[in-house]
Amino acid sequence: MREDTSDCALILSPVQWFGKVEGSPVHLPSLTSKQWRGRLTYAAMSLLVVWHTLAIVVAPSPDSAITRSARLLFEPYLTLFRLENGWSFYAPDVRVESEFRYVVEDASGERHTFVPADKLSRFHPIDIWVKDWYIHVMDTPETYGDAVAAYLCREHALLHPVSITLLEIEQNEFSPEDQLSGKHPFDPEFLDEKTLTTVQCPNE
Amino acid sequence: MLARVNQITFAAPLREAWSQVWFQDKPTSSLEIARMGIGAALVLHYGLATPYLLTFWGDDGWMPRALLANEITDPWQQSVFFYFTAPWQWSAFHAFFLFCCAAFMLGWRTSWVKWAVLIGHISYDYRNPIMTYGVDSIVACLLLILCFAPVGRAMSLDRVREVRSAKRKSLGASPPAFTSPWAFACTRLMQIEMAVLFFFSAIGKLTGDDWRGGDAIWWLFTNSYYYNNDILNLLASQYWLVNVATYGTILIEIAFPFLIWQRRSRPYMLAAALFLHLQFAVLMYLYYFSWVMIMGQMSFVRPEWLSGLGAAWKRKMGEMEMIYDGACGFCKRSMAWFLAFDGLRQIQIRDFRTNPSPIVSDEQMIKAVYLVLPDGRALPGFEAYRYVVLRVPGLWWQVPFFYVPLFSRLFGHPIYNWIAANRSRL
Repeated sequence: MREDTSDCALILSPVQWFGKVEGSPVHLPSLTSKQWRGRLTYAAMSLLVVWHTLAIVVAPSPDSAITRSARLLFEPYLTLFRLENGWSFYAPDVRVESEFRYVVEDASGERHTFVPADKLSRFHPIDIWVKDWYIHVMDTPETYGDAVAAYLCREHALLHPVSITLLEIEQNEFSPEDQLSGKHPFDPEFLDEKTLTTVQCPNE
Repeated sequence: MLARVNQITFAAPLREAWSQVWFQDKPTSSLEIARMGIGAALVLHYGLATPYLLTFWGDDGWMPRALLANEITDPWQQSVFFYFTAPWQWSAFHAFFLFCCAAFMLGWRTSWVKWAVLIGHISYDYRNPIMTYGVDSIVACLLLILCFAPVGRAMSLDRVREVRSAKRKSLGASPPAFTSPWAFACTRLMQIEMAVLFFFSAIGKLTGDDWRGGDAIWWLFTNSYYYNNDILNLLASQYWLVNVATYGTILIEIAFPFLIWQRRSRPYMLAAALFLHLQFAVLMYLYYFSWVMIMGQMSFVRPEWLSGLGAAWKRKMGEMEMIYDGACGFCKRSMAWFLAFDGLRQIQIRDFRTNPSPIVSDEQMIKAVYLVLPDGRALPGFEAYRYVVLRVPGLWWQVPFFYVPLFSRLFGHPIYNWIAANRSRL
């Protein structure tokens, strides 16, 4: 054990890796089995830190022959502990996200339009979960459209819904010049409405 | 023989360098800050999601089990929710998970609750994987490292229990702080995790035209989710700010993984990363994400900085001597419990039966505990505790009880006096 002025470090030999408490003397092992146990533990811990470090580097690495082979090895570990992520926040490009809306048609033929984003609060932590869910539904309405509509039929049961129409409000490019001329990114001229799907509600 | 000698002389410096990088004997303090911060974030986040439990993760909610097959294709993607059949099981698990998150934050039975928190968090994520986003992955990564680490040894109820147990045998006892090479290895893993995250985040941005062209921040704020008319007006009239913010973000993210390791540049890089994430929180409303990232960055806070901060606080608050009745069992038990929260060891103690105080008389001491301050003032009973809880960080959780205007003193004095008068029967 020695003092390292650069980082106040106490460098431990393999046999001393176990947690010790401040001020207590470091006993050199007197038993061979203890020495072996210390060395084995040190080796196991070294392997673990190497393994984990490689795993977190491989996870976001771009696709290549090397990373594909490495992934085969690390995939179970990465998946089981949910370490798989590309860490590409708002990248490669910033996506202008569409807004999700839906229309409930009731038994009398009246259409009620709902804007779920209006119910969200930016100060509520689950806000982004909900937003991401809507984005995913708009991206793959063929997969999630029926399930979302079925859920909305139940949620609006008091309206006696006949059908649910899912809408995507796409936002077009909005330039600094548009802003300076007093326009708003959500003015109708910058929005396009797209019908994703219409699903009939089950009879009550 | 010569080859063996060479091997030994060559291996020793390598082994020492390896230990220097991974296995220095250090306390768990920076990991404990991350534990408390991430625990608090999880309690808040999942607690507020309680009304949506079955909507988000139930079989009749947004992700029916039949649809889940589209997303969960790997047998390594596991969730306890896959095995639930009745709604009460969701509620029971959610309550248990929130309890574990709170225990994790407080450091109570940390050695097993940390695993329950990790398993729970992954279970929520895999039950509805399309709802999750980047921060959920970051939380999983940091939680796994905290599960490996010997957390709960400082700044925790586990530590309070350990100190209290020692003080019940002898009030003057103070168990030494825990240090371990494995704590340092786990701190290092968290540092590498953060550096990798920053690096790939920067690389991802450099491949996009929006970022390379310097316009990304403009597109970000035209988004309905981040829209703010005042900010957009400012950016439109001073478009250079958009370029500065775009390139500044990339610069911080690319510099962080390289400059964070050097002693001189670390404080600046930490400040830059903190600034970046405070911007995300304030301007983009990404509070949860920013908080978790800042907690991850805490792994770069040197234990020496924290101990220096603690010493400075201790100096500023001054010495405090608490005089108690050593012949009273209840008083000693209470003191052991109270002092167990004094992690910085700011409070000195004196038993007036064996070591009479030159400032407070024995007649006064019979009636109440006293706190003697460096300027010679002696505060009795309730006022003594009231003074201490504000100045000892481990006791801050008691501040609301002692500092409610009017009510604390109105009820505190009679309650304390009654306990003091009846202490021999307690």
